[in-house]
Amino acid sequence: MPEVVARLLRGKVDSAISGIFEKLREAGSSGAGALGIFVGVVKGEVAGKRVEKLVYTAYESLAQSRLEEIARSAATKYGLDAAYIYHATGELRPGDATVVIAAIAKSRKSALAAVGEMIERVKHEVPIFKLEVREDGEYWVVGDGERVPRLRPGT
Amino acid sequence: MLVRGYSVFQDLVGEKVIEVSEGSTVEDVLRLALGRAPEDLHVKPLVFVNDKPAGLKDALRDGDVLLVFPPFSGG
Repeated sequence: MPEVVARLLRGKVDSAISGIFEKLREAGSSGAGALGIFVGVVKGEVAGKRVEKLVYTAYESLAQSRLEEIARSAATKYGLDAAYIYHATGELRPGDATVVIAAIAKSRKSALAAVGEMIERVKHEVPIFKLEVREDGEYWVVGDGERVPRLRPGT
Repeated sequence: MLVRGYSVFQDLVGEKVIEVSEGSTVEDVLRLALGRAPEDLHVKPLVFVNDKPAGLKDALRDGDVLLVFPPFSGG
């Protein structure tokens, strides 16, 4: 059975990465040959404006169940040894990791394809929301990157 | 019934309790909560009722919880 871990985490997700490498050592001894990994990072500048922070919120019960389904589905589809999705909530600063998605597989083809599929599904299927706080105001990030000015900044 | 907005809809809707009459649909309640027709919005809402995706023509009952999301923005 593949190891499948999918979690919303308050604050940073950096610490999740060390656990993934521990699993890689174990999986490698039984035939795994590849780790594919994606890390999303808070940008320090958008549209020429300095970003102070991102604030992530989620409809947590549904978000958690969807993250689990996405990871389980990828593990089955690509025959993975392990699938991981860790997504941050709360306030994150430029340079902070927002999401870590990883797949351990026999081949690089499977690992990379699984990671690619998981990040696209996380972006489109999981009720997670992003507020971008910038030098020129606050913006809700909607869908694939549209910015909508917040109606009541600071509330 | 309870209507709760997230992201841009947190600003437009917040959290409201709306009286639902017999035969009310998702669209009817959204019009009341938003103060305008859903099709007039620049950001199209994704609506969930009791944690399940719902369509504008779906019927509602008192006690239902209606969640209004924009397109998701995780990652």
